[in-house]
Amino acid sequence: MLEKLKPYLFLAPAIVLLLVFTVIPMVYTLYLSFFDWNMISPTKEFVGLDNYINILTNDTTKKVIFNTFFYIVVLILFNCVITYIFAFIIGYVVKRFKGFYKVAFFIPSVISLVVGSILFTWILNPISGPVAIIGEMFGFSIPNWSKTDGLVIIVLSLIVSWKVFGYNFIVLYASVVGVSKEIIEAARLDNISNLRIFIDIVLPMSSATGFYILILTIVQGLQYVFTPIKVITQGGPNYGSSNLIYQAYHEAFVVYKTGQSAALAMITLLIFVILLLLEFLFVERRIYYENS
Amino acid sequence: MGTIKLESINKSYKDTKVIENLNLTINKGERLVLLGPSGCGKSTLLRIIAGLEEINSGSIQFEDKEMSHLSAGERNVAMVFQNYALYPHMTVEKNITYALKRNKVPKAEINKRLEKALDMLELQEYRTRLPKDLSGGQRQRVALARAIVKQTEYFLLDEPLSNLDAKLRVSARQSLLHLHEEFKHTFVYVTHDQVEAMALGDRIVVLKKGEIQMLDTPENIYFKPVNVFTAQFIGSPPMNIFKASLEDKSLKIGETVIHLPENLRVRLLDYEKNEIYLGIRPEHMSISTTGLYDMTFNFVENYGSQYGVCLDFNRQECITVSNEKVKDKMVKVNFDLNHLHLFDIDTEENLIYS
Amino acid sequence: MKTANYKNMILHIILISFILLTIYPIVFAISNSFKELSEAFTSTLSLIPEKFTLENYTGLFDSIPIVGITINTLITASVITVAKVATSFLAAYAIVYYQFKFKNVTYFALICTIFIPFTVTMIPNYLIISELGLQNNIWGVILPQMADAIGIFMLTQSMKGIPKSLIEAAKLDNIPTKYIMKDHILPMVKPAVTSTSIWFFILAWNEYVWPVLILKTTENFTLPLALQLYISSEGGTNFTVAMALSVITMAIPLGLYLIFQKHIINTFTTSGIK
Repeated sequence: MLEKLKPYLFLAPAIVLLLVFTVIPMVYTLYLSFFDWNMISPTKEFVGLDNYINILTNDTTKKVIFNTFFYIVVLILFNCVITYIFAFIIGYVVKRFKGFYKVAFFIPSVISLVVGSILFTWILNPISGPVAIIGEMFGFSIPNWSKTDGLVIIVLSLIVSWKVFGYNFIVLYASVVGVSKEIIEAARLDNISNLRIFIDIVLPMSSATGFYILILTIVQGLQYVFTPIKVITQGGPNYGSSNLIYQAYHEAFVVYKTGQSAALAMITLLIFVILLLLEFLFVERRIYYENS
Repeated sequence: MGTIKLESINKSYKDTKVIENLNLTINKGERLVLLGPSGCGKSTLLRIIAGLEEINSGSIQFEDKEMSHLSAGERNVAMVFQNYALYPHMTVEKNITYALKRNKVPKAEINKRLEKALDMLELQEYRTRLPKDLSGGQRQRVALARAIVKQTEYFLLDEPLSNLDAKLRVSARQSLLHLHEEFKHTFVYVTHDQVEAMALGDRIVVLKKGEIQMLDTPENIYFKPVNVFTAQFIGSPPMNIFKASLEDKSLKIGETVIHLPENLRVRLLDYEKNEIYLGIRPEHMSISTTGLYDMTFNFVENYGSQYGVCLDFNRQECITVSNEKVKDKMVKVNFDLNHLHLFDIDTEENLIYS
Repeated sequence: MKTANYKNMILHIILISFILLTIYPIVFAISNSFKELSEAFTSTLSLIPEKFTLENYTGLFDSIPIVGITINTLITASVITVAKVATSFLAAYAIVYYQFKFKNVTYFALICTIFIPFTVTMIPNYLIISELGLQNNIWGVILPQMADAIGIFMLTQSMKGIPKSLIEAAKLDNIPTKYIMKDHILPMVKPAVTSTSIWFFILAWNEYVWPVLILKTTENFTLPLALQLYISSEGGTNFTVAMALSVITMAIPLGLYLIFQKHIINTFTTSGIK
């Protein structure tokens, strides 16, 4: 009898914690998204779908949603595309120092994003930062990126990429080198170029992991960007660097519009759920490549 | 086109030498088998020919053209891997045609070669399947087809049959022979299986620790092995090697004097050491009531068609084959005098053939 | 293959330049933290301080309760790590070595929670912490962070990696379950537990989102939060002090990583996937 209860007993602490701090709060946030509230007043006013309608029609949030997709594109470029290429190069093209590269790439991943944000703010300072000074020597100047629409998103994404590159690299590397060595050699013997080996063989054979990293980049990347936004721009200039995550924080803890924040959070969740469903469909169909 | 010439090849991984000063010429259109135990460097040698391993020094020539500085892709060789290395996400058809397409072979030509290969290897009905939906034998044939369509002179095979079950292996061996008849490629074939080597090779290279022990036809390797290693590596059960003593030019195992044929006795005249190895294959020993040598019976192994009889000859173990099950505690054994071998006690070299 | 070697050289140069670029911010911080403020502005590019000074570090002691802040960070990170590793280990253990109803569904549901963005739980958790009276208290930072399924995932993966035949061999030898666990499973999972712990510690050490919501006064801050005090100064009067604090903040994670790098990289290469 006790033996039968054991697994439940072992699972209980984790499940209780997740219920209390993740699942129940999620349901409560859904509930809050139908109310107008300011977190302090004793009464909440039921407003139906107003919060959602407001978000989807309001110019600020429209801009934020657009920014979110801009972030996603830049993050994917930095953290999936480039990482994938690096994983392939280290896995199959270069022959030496692989261990060193793995260890070195990962170093920034252990550093606080607040530290990263501060360091990059100084390094990329348009007047006195080292990049600006070197740029000046060659006759070009650094734009005031934290006040420039578009560019600010690219720089903030860069800071996040600095941090997550190592982790993504390690996971992709593991999957890329999981492709049997003989298959790569067979292609080499057939005079297939490295570029073609990457596109025709390694990419499809490691696609399940690739897709997982893609999802992770979006889901985690958007949350990671919160830190540099909060530290450096507070969403500015004029919401130009805000995304769904930061905006939800802003609505809740800066302007105290709990309902708006909750609705933004639920929309974010919906996007993530759709992405996850896509992943499951994709992985179900493809996973055997990596195991066979 | 077709000969492969290796000169003073040296290859080492860090401090371990894998191949040392190896010279080998492979003739156009022949089937050469690289045979040896695991770790002897046979696969490494094949991969060196293919360009998958760099060499530390030496020269590799394909028909007088230096190849050692060329990458694998530039050498234009076809190779069949032990695990076939099929692209798991491509159908049989795509697996076969992929390299041709990428190397810009005209489409009509690709189709022609594909159809021919599919016909030859009886793969027509599987052309749209993925490798995971094929049996081991079918996969092996796809790997062969992929190699054939390259239409190169050089065909390298790295233990291509070792993942097949025993029955399939025999038929796959035969289709390999047919294939060679058809195309007359220069075949370089790696295996650790001596039966496969004997069946397939025009010539066999016996390798041990990166050094060539013997390079010759299967017959010579079997009947005239140059040293103890080759003698024992080929043949199953392996050749019996007795340690014998020499006194006054008569050869003794324990206290028993062994009668030698004239050609061996002559050879002993200038052999000055006190001990020597005497070698004889199990099939060249026979149990008979008129046998000259008394041996103790140990146990018997059943080989199906025959029995392997394990004996003790003056405290040295040996094995012979017999059609009948032996039951006596003591047996009398004869040696076939035409098939006795003498090996130097130190160098282990055959005193007659090396 | 000479052309190949040549190409390889270029690739190595690119990769090493890339590493130097990613390491540069760290070197930049360390170097400036030992410079005098005036030197930091006049010779920004030089990496070695002309006049080596510890003033920036001592200055920290005068301006903020740096010792208390470091202790706060240490406590927060340690408690979160222990709680997460312990609960995750038990859960993973149940999932890998026991059969029970709805096992797969439970595991799947647990893993799904990894993908819930923090904005979805932020407000209710903030309210819970307020109700508990843990605002502006490091326990308010610790509690919500204990709930995290990623550890269950990582440890499940590595436990599944232990060959079944090994367990079966032990069972054939009639070894009692508890000894199988103690003598076979634990030693084999140990590297994964170690690196998961290190990773959690680093994550919690660097955590910013929860502290920023909960902690209000400087003496209760954690290191990343204290750093924030040095950002707004546009004139950069605190620049070198900010660098010193950055160095302190990243020293422990970096040290831990460099000590356990093999473990960590191995765990991520073997259990990072699905």
